[in-house]
Amino acid sequence: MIKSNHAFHLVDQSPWPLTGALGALMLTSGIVKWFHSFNMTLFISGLIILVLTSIQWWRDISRESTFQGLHTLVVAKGMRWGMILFITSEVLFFFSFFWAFFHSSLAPTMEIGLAWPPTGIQVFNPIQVPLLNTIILLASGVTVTWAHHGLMENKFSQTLQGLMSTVILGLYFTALQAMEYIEASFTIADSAYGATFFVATGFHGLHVIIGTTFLITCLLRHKSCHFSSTHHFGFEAAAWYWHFVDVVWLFLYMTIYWWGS
Amino acid sequence: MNVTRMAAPCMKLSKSLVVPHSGVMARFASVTKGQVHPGYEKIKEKYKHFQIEDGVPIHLKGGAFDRFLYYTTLAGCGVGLVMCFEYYYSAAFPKKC
Repeated sequence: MIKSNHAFHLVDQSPWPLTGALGALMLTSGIVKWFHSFNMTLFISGLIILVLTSIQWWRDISRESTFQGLHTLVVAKGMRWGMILFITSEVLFFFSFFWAFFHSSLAPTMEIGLAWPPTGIQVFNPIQVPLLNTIILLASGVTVTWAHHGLMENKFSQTLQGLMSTVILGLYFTALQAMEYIEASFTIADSAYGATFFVATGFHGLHVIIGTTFLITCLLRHKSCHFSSTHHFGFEAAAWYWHFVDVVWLFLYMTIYWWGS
Repeated sequence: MNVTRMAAPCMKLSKSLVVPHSGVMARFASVTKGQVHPGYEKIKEKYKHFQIEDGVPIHLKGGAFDRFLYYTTLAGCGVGLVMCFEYYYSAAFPKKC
């Protein structure tokens, strides 16, 4: 279907960048309105618009690539660089939360008892649920690699099983972490410990949810035969993101859960 | 006249008409000869539909549901924008109790 005399993809005019920007405006203004007027309507509306925009934008990309064949090798290479740069920016995002954690924990102040964990904080036992969560994410790294090899070797049902297992493990992690949050004896307001713990693990949990959603999308696309054994960048991007989420958890576990206890 | 050289553009043209993108044929290599994976037939229909050259942009090419989603999103944005400005005004000029 390529009608140009070059290998690049010049996209059709699309409303999604504008609706995305407006959705972000509604989300941010909505947060301010929530905090000052105790009204969440604008915030929720912004969230809905952003979700609608994301679904339609990515739906369009699937159409352009799978159905119209517009993703040439050059285009796919650009996508690869894009995903690598995005994940790098996410690494830097988490780096700042680890910096905050070490800032507070390496030189504990008088206000928290000159100790880490601070006086009075009952930390999670690292060899209980946190260790199970570590094993779950490591296993999910194996299953997503299994799925990838299945895809490259034209084994449809093995890819399906691998993807399904990865999604189930991701959901299991999220459920366990939610239980931990409910059972925690400290809150985000409980000194620097609570703040660093919940912000770092909270953002990680959000990324697990995003990664799981990406994998579920890949699962549905695979069931609809969108991927071929040689061209499946959407799947690879999801797998890269998932490995990134796993590595962040390993750092969280080693520093905040284990060293920090 | 070199018939092969003449045939080459025709081959290229017919290749571009055969819709599947790279590797789709390879992925069904494990299926028995003569049998086509059922998913392939469904997706061939999708290829045909989205490759119709009618000038309709990709975000509306799916049909009526695309239009519904698009106008709903646009309406949501319009309403949300008004709500934003309403809030900015009320934050700048709060009502005196």
